[in-house]
Amino acid sequence: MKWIKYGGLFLLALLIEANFSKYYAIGNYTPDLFVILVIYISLNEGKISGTISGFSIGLIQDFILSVGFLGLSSFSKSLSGFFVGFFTNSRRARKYPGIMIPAIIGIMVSHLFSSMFRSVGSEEGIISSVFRLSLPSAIYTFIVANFVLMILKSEKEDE
Amino acid sequence: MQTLISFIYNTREYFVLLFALLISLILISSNDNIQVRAMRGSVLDSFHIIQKPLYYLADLNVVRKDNKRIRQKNIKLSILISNLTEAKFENERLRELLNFKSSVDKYKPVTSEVIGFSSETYGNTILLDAGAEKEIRINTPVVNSEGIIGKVIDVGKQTSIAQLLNDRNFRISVTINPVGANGILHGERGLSNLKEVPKGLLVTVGDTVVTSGFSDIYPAGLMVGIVTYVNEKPEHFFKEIKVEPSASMSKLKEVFLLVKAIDHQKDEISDNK
Repeated sequence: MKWIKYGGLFLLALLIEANFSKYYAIGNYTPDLFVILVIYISLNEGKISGTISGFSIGLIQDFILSVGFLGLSSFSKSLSGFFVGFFTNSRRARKYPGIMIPAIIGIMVSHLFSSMFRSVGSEEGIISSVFRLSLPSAIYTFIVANFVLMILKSEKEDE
Repeated sequence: MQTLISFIYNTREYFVLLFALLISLILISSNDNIQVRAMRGSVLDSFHIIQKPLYYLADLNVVRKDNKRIRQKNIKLSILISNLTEAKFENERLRELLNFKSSVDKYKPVTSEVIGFSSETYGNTILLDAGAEKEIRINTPVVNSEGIIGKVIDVGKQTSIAQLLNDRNFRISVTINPVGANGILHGERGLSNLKEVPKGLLVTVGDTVVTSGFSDIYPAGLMVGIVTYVNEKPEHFFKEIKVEPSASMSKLKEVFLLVKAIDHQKDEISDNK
């Protein structure tokens, strides 16, 4: 049942990103809704499920939404899912404010690896890529993640 | 053997991660593989089935306002067309005299609706409902009445993805009119950067930027944008120029894909063979 819920959340994120991302973009930056979902799944299901869902979600994102670099999102989100999975058994890390730590780690891992790969062969160096592109986008994602994880968490507690 | 199995079992999460990373790296290194591209096209076509109705639903509110605006524009355009038709005939007569063939004549416009919009930190793309079935190929130019929009970067049977002019990785060879200086436009959200324009040339704010026609992708003379900022620094060889794209990327509904008529003829020849 919960995997149907994850699937539904993924579809929702996909449709929001594909149709409405221009409405909530701040300047050049948009939050990565998929990494938030990977964090949520990984926190609930552990490292293996987190890694596999990170890989699958990233792969579909690569196929449908990303520009070039097929495999990049699957790479960075697999790592995100894996690292966040270390917090699965910690009750404190699954509640506020503790949940912010796995959220920060998951988001930063995903964004850092993305910018590292994207800076290869581009005119923009890795430092510039991290600070000019990844960091603001990661901060925006983190702000959105707080709201999303709060809503999803409360739903879980209601169950 | 028992120890090996228990070692693998105890560290299975690391093996799963390693496997996922390995597959991802293989995909990254085979981005230009034809089979991978074909697979991407198939995934896009499948997504198109659920994406298209939802996109229309999301846009229903905007359609009414657009309709009113378009009706008003239509009246103005009708008047303009009658004037232009006259000018066109005159132009054709003069061209015949000069034996001149326009570069745009080599392209056949294919209409397509924008059914998706992806605005990522790293890039901007649109999903179009025209694909290989309508002879769309990678690098097919995408334009609208206002000018250049971008180019196709991935093609499915019925859909394609176009990289927009304001994508950070977009590059296009352009000419600044009236001075005739050439440069390379680098995509950026907001104002794009025009690079490699030598300092000695007189470029001013308000100059028009059009496609140069040097590349094999775009025909010459298509509107790209207007120069909005010009600066010169003593330590640099080139001017610092910013260009505002003439086409509004946030309100795209319908676009034209310029399919090369030459390619079309080539296909017909190879089919006959």
